[in-house]
Amino acid sequence: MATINIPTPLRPYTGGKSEAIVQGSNAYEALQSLIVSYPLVKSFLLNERGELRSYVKLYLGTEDISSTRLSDQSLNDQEVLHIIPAIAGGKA
Amino acid sequence: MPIQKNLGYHYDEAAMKIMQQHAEQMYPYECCGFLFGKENVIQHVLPVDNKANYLKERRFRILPEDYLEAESYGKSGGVELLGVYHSHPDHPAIPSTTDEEFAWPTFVYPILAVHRGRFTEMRTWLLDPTLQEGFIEQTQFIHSLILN
Repeated sequence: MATINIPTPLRPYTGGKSEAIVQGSNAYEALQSLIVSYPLVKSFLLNERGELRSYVKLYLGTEDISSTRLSDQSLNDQEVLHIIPAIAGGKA
Repeated sequence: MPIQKNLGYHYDEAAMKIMQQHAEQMYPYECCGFLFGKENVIQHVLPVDNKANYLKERRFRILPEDYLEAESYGKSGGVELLGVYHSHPDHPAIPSTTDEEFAWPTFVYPILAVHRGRFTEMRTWLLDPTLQEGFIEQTQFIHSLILN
């Protein structure tokens, strides 16, 4: 079981929890486990094709794994996944 | 009970001043930073670098590392990370389609308009809690807060 850190804007959808213990041997399974526990987070994390949304970053420890194949990112019990909102914008 | 869409946000005037000065200092580029407090009360702000790769006059971007640092800052200070401010140089304090594209639910987004290097106004925005509409303008109050 690994840990996923939940960013502040998603905590209203995880009952206020800032982290979740999830099942799964890789990052993809861990995300699915989170979604099973907290279904409301799904639409913010994944697009219609089930891929990570462009404005969501996923870090394994300090490494950005957002653009990798998540099922190839194996996890052990000690590892922490961080969901990080991509913060951007501008007048045009 | 209907969902309240205008929560009304209170800003500490010292925090407001920091945002205003940041927006003017960074002109003609956009500035950005984080907001901290509790519920609808903004007690502190944390200016961060605009790391947009290009066109900082009309874009801003905050690094994931800076986001993680802001989460830690809030946790250690016993306050919540409530949202993100940024400026619109020579442009109204109204969210753009880019702002809306990257907006997160429950985060509050004040926008500061700066005209020819001088701050002109700030307006506060929040995504519709039902996610049916886009940004909804929030009433804002700026005053001196008694902080812990």
